[in-house]
Amino acid sequence: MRSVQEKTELFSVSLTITLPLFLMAGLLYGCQDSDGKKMTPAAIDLGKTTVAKDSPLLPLPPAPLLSSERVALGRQLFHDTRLSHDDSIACASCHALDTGGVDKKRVSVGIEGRPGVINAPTVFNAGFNFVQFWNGRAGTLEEQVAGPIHNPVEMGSNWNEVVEKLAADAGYVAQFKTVYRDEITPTNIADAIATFERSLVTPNSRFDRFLLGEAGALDEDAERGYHLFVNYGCSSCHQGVGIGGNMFQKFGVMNDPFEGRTPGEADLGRFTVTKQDDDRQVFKVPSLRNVAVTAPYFHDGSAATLEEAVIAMGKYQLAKKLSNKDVRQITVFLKSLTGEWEGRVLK
Amino acid sequence: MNLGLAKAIQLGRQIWGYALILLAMTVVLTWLFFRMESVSPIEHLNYSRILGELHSANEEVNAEALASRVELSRNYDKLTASMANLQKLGLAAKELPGFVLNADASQMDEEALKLQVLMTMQVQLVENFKRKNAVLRNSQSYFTTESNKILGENLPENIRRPFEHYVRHIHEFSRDPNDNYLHKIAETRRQLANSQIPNNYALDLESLLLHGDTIERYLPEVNDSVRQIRELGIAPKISELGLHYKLAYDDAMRAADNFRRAMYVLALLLVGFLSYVFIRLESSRRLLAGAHKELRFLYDAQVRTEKRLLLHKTAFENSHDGIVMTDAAGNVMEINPAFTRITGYERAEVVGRNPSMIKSGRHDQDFYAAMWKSINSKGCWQGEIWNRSKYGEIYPELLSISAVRNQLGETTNYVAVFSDIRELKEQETKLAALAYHDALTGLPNRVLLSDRLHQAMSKVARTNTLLAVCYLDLDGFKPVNDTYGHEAGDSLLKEIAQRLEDIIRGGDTAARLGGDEFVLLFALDKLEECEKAMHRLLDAIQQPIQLEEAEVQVTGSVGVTIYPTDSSAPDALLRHADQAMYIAKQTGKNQFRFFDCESDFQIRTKHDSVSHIEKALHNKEFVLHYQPKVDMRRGAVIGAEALIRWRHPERGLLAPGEFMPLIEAHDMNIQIGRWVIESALQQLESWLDQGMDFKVSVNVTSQQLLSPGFVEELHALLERHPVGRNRLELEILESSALEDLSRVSHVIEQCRKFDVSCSLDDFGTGYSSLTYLKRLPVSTIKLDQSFVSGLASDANNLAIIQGVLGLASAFQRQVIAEGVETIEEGRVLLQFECDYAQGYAISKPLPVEQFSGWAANWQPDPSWQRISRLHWGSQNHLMFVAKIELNGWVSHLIRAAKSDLPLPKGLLVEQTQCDFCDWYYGQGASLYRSFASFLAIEAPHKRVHEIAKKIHIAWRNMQHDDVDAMLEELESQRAMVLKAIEQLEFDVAIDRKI
Repeated sequence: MRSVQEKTELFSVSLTITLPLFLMAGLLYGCQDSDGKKMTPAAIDLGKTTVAKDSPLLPLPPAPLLSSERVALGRQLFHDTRLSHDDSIACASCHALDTGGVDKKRVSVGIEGRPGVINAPTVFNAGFNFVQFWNGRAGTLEEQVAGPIHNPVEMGSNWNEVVEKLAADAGYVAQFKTVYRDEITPTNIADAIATFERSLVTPNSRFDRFLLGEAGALDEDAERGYHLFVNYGCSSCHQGVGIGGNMFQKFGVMNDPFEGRTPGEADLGRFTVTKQDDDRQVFKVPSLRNVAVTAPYFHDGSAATLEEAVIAMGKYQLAKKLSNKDVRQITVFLKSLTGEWEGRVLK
Repeated sequence: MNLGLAKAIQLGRQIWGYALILLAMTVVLTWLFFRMESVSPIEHLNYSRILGELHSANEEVNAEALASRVELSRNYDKLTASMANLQKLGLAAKELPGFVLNADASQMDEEALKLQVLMTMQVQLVENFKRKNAVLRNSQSYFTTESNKILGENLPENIRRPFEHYVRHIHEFSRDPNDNYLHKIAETRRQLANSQIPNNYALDLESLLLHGDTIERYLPEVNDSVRQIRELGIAPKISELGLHYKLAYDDAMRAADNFRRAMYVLALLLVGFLSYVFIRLESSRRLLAGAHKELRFLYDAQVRTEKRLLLHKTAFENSHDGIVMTDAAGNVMEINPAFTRITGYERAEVVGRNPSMIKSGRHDQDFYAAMWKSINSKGCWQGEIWNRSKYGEIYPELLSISAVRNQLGETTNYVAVFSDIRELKEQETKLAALAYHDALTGLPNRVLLSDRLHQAMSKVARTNTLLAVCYLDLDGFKPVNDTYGHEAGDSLLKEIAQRLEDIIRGGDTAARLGGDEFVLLFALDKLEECEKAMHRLLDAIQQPIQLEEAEVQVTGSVGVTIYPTDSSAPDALLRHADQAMYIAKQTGKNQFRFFDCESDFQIRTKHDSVSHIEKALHNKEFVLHYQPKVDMRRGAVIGAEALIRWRHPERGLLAPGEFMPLIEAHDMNIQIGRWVIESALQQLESWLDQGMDFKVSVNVTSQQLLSPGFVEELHALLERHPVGRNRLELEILESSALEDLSRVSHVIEQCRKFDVSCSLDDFGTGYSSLTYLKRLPVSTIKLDQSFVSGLASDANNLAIIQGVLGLASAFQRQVIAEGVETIEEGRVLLQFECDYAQGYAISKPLPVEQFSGWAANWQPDPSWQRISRLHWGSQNHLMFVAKIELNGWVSHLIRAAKSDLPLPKGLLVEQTQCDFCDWYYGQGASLYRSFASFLAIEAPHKRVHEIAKKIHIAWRNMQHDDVDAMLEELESQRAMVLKAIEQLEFDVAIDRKI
């Protein structure tokens, strides 16, 4: 047993030593550079391609590196009908993966069979669109998720409802805990779904293979169609990796498709966002990838077939009545834009 | 210690205050740290990067727009991506780093907002551009394709030409949007429009014209759009933002610097404060440690004290001796178990009570008084005391009582320690018995005898009785021992002892000294009783004794000495008795003899002294001192008297009077005398060697003179030391020559033949001085000092001296005066024609080493020198006497007055009674009246008488002060008289003309 004297001595000695040490350590620690946010590179890696980056049409880059956990969770949520008010409609209801990412209807149908007002664009390669929705009101896929959920004619629900329903599912609770180390929140739900959607890239279309130098990927007609596509100026708007999806354009540059009828809400297009008169009937230029499997076409689904769409485009955008041969060849070309997902060509 | 501890505690409390301060400082420090840290380099880097990237993104957008315009880039992916990036950066730029100060932040927010506005505009512009450019591009592609196709076909000539022109102009315009071309385009278009167009080309041409119009319209718009994009001024705005940020950063840095500095200062303060706290802590610790140490020390001391106390308690409890502690009043405070064991009293019975309860009653008041007196004065008492135990038993204790005193000297307690000495006492008694008694016979032994003897002697002294000390030795004891053995001898002795015991009475003692020697002490009233007792004793001894073996008979020889007739010490008494016994044995045994004291004493003393002196002589402890003899008139040293001194090792220098009487009539005397003569002769030789010629006289006794062979020895000595002739003188003490005058005379004659003269010492003191003078042929007479002293004032001696001097001259002997102690004496002697003298006025006896030096330097006193040549006839002697008488009585008067003695009667008062007056007015007047000096005497002389009378009266009337004053005057008047007389003396003296 140490004596009182020895104890006090020990105490003061240890204090003398340790306190400064602590102080120093604290200071040093504080002065240390904290591991700040890592800077993310802004560049998009197009992957290996022999095509010059300035050519109008570019092949799809490989799918981005995404968290498989989140993708899986997102996929689950994508197919979860609890996102809709009456648990009848899931994202996949209108953007079914095995039907080209669309519902093949002129306009979608929401909960309780409520008819929608606009044609469902494909979810495949939606990650390459510079904005989402025909009128570009969502800047990102994450922002887009809230749209259908809250749309009364689509899912007719709201975040609270959705979160509540999902939180009741212990599996989701556990998954969110694992994946996000967090509770089920709208942000996390949107993030999961968006992450899943970004994974829906459809490479290996015949055209992409052609662009990447594969000989014989395109037949003669398709190639002829490609040239026509470019020379007629279609590629002025339908360009980039998405073959569209990176700009807005008026539907009816030369001629007005809405002539003789009153434009509906959906026909206002960009105007609903910008409130500029110039932006009436201005829509996001849709991506033509997998266009062969995403009938009907245009925002109102007014073109039931690809040929009709091509003819309509020629009429309204070019003021040219395309010859049948042109239409056929262009159509063949467009059909070569269908890619693969999960190893299978989209249908 | 208390101070240290208190301080430590106080410091301990202060610690809480310090802790609080420390906490506050830490909080401030932490706050400063965060504020300082807020200028995060990471954030700064990030934001700077954002700003930088804004720039580059913006440039990218501009470049891409341009590229798209000039078909360098035929898709909008890059442009779209750049725009998206720019948007992202713009948003990021709005997120200012946390360290930006509020003032700067608001400014920057403004800037950012402005930038945002511009960027929003940019978005719009870019989208517009994309649309328009796409349309333009579209029309351009289509126009080119279609126009080529149409031109490839057969067009009617009237159409062909304008068509070609139109196409060419459109292409030219495309390349260079010049107004010229617009003009031409318009013209050619009109031409075309006015021309007749075949139906198969109508639609195609129509659409072509449409596209041409589109090109015409859209080209400038697109260019304008690009220009607008480029001139939006985002870059400057970004730079401005950057500038603002830099300022904000600098401000923030400055602020941070300030915080940093403040933090530094605070950190220093903190360190300082901590140091201070640590110092206080340390001092507190030290104080505590010190206090602890002290406490420890005290504790240890306490433990030690407790241990000691325990030890003492153990001692106290387990002591075999009884211990009592009382308070100052003497009441018992504490006892130990031994007390109970010895006295029988339990603790409860004695506590609070006085120990006097155990008094035995055996001791008287005085005993206890003496005991307490010792305790109170010396602080302790020790001794044997008889006490009574609880059960009434009286037992002896060896008790010691000590008084316990405090610092002030007051008694606070008494401590008594005692042991039961019952057994000891018994043993003591037994031992005493053994110690004091002869084991065989049971008679007192030598030791007890001594004690009895002392007691008997003191009793005798008290009761004026006599004590007979008898020393008995058995005759014929040894044969018995030899014949019948030791056991028989022992039996015999026992029988004798028994008989002795039977004889002696109560106060007597019979003791056995050992062997067959016994001592008996008889108390007697008269001497006659002793004889009777002796006879009885002898009778008893010589009765036959029946032993086992046979019947034997012994007798006794007894030596007796009677005390106090024999006044010796006890052992001497025994010795005397023994001596007497010895004589008895020698004169036939079976008798008793008395001891003769007187001769024994003398023999012994003499024997003792003689041996000492013999030893001293052997050790050369004797030395001769020389008292000079001088001729006062001529002022010369004529010789010296050799006087023996004893340099006694213990007693110092002894005069002959202290040891010579001891060897009177002893041979030693002669030996000493011989030594003296020989030493004197040796000294004479020594002086002569040094060139000094002195005479030396030595004292010899008539015993020596008459000792056989004296003359021969002297002769032999003179042979050895021839210088002694005519120089050695023998001084014979007048009284000692009494015995055999004729023989002494004869010896003197013999000595004269060797030229050794003799003188009569102390002349005038013996019975028959004149006879000696007549019968002894001495050459010199030494006038005894008893006549010389007081010569100046005692006229009686003067008369004697006159007589002796007369005798000496008649018998033609020389005279030398001994014991001249004053100069005046010498002067008087000179006046009476006694020239030679020795005495203290001249010199005391000197050691040899001083003598020659003294002799060389001696001068006679001036008053002697003055009269050395003077001679007075006998008719003047009366004058001298008268002077002396006057001197005498005045001195006497003065002495008496000063010493309260009764004044001398007669002479003083009346002139008629004064002898001086008789002379003065008688013979003096008749002889000297013609001398002025004589006449000068009268007045002071009268005055002397007057004063004397006055003194006498004053003395009677007790007026002592007056007496003192008058004494002075008396003396001065006397002096005048004496002076006058002196003058007269000179006047009447005759010059000797020597």
